[in-house]
Amino acid sequence: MNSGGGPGAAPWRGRLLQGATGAGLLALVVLVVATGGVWRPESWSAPVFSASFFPMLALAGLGLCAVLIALGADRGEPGEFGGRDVLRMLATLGGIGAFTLLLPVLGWVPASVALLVAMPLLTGYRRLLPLAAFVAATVALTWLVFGLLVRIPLAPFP
Amino acid sequence: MDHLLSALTQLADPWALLALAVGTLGGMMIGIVPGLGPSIAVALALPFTIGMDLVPSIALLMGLYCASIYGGSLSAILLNVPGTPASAVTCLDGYPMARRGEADLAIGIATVASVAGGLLSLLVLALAAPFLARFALRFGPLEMSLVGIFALTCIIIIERRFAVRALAAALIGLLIGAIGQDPMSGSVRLTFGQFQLTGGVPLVPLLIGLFAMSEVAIQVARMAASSVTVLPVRVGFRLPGAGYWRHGVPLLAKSSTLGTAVGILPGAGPTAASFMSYSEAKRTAKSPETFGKGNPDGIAASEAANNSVTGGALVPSLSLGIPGDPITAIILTALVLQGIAPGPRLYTENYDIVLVILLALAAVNVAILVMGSIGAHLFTRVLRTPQPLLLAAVVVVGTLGTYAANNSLYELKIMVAAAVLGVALRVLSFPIAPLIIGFVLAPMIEMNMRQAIIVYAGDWGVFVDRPIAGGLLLLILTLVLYPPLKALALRRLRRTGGQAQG
Repeated sequence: MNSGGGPGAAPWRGRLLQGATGAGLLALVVLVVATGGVWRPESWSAPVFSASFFPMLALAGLGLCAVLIALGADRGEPGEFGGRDVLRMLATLGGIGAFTLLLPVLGWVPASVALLVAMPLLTGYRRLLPLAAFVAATVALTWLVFGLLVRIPLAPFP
Repeated sequence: MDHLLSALTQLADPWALLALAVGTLGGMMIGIVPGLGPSIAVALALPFTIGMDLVPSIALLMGLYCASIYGGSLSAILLNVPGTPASAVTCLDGYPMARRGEADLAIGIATVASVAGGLLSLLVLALAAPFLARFALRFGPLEMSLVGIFALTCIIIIERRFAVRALAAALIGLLIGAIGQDPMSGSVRLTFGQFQLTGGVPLVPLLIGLFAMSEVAIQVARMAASSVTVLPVRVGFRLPGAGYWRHGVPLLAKSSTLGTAVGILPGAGPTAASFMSYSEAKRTAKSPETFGKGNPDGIAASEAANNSVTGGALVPSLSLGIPGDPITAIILTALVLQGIAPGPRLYTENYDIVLVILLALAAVNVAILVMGSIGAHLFTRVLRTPQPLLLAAVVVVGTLGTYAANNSLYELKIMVAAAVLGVALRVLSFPIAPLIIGFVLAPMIEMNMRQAIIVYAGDWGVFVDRPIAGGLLLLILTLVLYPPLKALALRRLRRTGGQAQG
């Protein structure tokens, strides 16, 4: 596994990652203040009665943390994961997202079968017979739990 | 006595016993699999508990909680890969024992130590929590908000090298917890136009996304780098002779006491407990050089400590309503979803439920002993299931479980968003635990803090008039200021030493 800013990496890379993390967090704070409905100057005369009091307190703290992170206040070196790892994670998250979108379209049984087959194959698993047995067992178990016991109102088939 | 009989009757219900058995069995299997720990076990079970009665849901969660921590020791002994981080220290002596053909003895010691730790911590929970709950009845909004802040402070300072990131994670948790309707004014905030968020962010999709789905993504990324092989040894259960227990029993008592004390402190958790207990056992051993080379005391110290955290962590959770770690946060949420409010009043209003929890914990520990002694070889077969298949199953069960909690497709979107947040935070070295604790504590801290400010605004003398609040504030300031002041003093000392030498 490649190390993004770990012990073996160049120090400037670690500092760059810290700076980017701090800047990104600060940008997020500004975005939330601007669009989250918590910027209410009219309530500043009695802030504790305002709905924005607690969120603004937390956002102010988060902004301070962002500056401290950018300045390298944490003593640990971040970046256990390399670029290829992050890509694999994003692909997995994309797969999970696609699965949640396909559930109501395909029905949860075909969608589950598709995920149970695709995910192992895409991660390098090639033994088809155990895979088929595993898919059959998992679908039977989820049918028992979610179809018969919990009775979820999602259609099992299209 | 009536409460005890009532609790016993409730737990003797066939559905409760079945849930206890399923929880213990499932917990062991999930704990054995490296990467899947107690957090995922309890998070995946949470949606199912919503549709269950109170007592079976408690039995299921307690079984999963305790047995998954124990299950981690089996893969630590057989694979040299801890099933859960709490069993990392067990590898040091468990694996060398397995390599020299003593896997059965290592599993026997790990099982007995786990059960001893679990039962001793249960005793502390039974004795200490009611006392703490009675004491906490005197707490007002000021004290309650300070207790919440104290819990968060403990969780943040435990991260040491990433303390600022831990603080940021806790603040993100507080912010997510503040989404929706303001409890005082009723106006809506931080919903970004999504009316479904008016009632706040639901915990089930948040937890499944943050723990289970982000873990799946990270395990997939790590899959290429990891390769594990099961030792070709006979897996069984054997106990050492009577001679061992002459020093083994005091060691178990010491390790369990240490683990329970660590468990009571918010944030420390089973991993820290097992490391501390192992170090202490090694420090006081007659032959410390044998630690790390297959000394049974190393396994006993580690496993007794990490399992005794279970009872310890429930002390502040049940008596104050303050979770010590993400797992107890999920258990508290399960209780809230069932209409039970943890905190000081739990002991006066729902004492039979407290007894059900205690009895369930005792029964789970007995079940671990029975199942561990007769079925260790069966559970370890889970290790032969290829990881890609297990991870795919976690995605299916986690997603359908999240949907089943409220039959809402919108909550699946929240789950995916939480998974993205979890992965982003973990890649950037932000710890997840402070976020969960912050999220769970947000309503309590906000409400009490605002009430306290309204009542005592500007009156600093309140910290003298209310000594508990003054003590808590002092404790928080000490925790926050001690590490930087110590570092500063050390730097000065080094500088003056250098000048004197020069």
